[in-house]
Amino acid sequence: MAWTKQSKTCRTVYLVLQEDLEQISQTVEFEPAGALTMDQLQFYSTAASSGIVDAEAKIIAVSYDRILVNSYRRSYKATFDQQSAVAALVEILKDKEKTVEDLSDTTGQIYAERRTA
Amino acid sequence: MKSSKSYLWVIFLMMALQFAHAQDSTSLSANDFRKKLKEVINNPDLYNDAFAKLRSALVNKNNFLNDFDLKFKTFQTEGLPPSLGFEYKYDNSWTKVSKEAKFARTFSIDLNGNVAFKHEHNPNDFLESKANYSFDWFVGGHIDKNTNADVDSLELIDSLIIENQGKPAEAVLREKRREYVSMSNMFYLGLNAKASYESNQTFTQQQFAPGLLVNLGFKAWDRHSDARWLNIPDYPFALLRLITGSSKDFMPSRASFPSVLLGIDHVIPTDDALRKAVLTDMKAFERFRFEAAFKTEAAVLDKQVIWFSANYRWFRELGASKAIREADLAGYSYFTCNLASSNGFFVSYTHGRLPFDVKANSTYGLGFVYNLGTWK
Repeated sequence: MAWTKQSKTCRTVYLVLQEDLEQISQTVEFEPAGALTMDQLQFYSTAASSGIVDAEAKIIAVSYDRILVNSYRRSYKATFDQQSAVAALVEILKDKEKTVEDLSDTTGQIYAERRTA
Repeated sequence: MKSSKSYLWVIFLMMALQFAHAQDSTSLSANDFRKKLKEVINNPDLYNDAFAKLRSALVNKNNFLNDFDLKFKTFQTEGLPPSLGFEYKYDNSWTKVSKEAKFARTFSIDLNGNVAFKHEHNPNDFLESKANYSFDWFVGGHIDKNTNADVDSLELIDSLIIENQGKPAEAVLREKRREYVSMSNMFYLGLNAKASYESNQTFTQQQFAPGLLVNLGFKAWDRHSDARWLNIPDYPFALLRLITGSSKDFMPSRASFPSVLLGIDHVIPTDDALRKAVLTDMKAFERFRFEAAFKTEAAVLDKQVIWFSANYRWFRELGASKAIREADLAGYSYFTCNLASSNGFFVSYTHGRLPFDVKANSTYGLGFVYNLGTWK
């Protein structure tokens, strides 16, 4: 799945990371944000030990999941529940080479869009 | 076997290409030739490129490499010439989360260290192999569920923000969006039981160190609370962001509160030349450890985001004998900080020593970081 303005998931990931979780600088526009790697987000400090990076990744994953489920009313796809969703997010967040676009792809695999009447 | 031979050829070919690039078309004297050859052999980029090629070819065949990172680099220590070496890191974990994600349990394996090809030139001579089990609590971070009508509005605002980036309407739309996403502040507490094997790179000093650690974190997610003003370490950077124009107001970050790790290790030295020199026996001892980490946006210059990261680690042997204290082996402290740009440029400063280091060193760094995994 490409990083594109036409994707609702990409737009959501960008604004949740930038506005709600303050992980991306306010000066970074949508287009270049997709290529940012995890160590270019606020939570990931390459100077810290893995114990601290793990803890930060868990905080971001849990917060991100709560925003998607409550603010955006996203539900989990058939093979996921909250436990496996957060675990999958933590795996992506802890990998400093993964990009925001990768996180968006994983988000698309975990969460179903809201069904409208 | 065939594929490993072909990768050796790739490395050889890259060395030859690097060498060809390094020399000019005029003829070289024997001394110049040796000098150029040494430059090529001591260039960490050569090995980083070769490892990246090897890994990109093997990564789908062997998942171990997905979590393994190897970075060749030059070590520069006070009074010594530069020396080639590498930093390695393997980190893998398995997480289980409770319903409503209030608790989490994680098992992780972490191997990391720095190896200099001339070991006496290694300013961070500390290798750690660690297994860790953690139990985590997330307190707060509550969000009210939006109605379907709210979500319609939120998703429409999201689209409009992105369509209007750089236009005056963007700020108004962002302000409006904040009405639809509101989370309370979040506290994090992690309890960790770990077992680690620590050594220097020549294994002349080794110890086994099981321990209990506590992890603490805080996020001021609630935009309406004043909690962000408690993020005092961010004040100088909030001012810098204001001065450089990346922020319109003096506003500390809600996300960049320092994280803390502290606890007690039970250290069982198995081979430690430094302790043997001052003690007649090699009894186990307790060691207190503390770590604090901080990362925040410092500025945006020429569209490049500059991040500031700092990390401080402190180790202290509890009830250390007079001989240990006099030999300066009772406590270790280590500080590192860096300014890193989103294009890879960084400047760094490191001071202090980790367990097994004989003396404190100051190291300055300047250069570019290459991400091996994104190499094409």
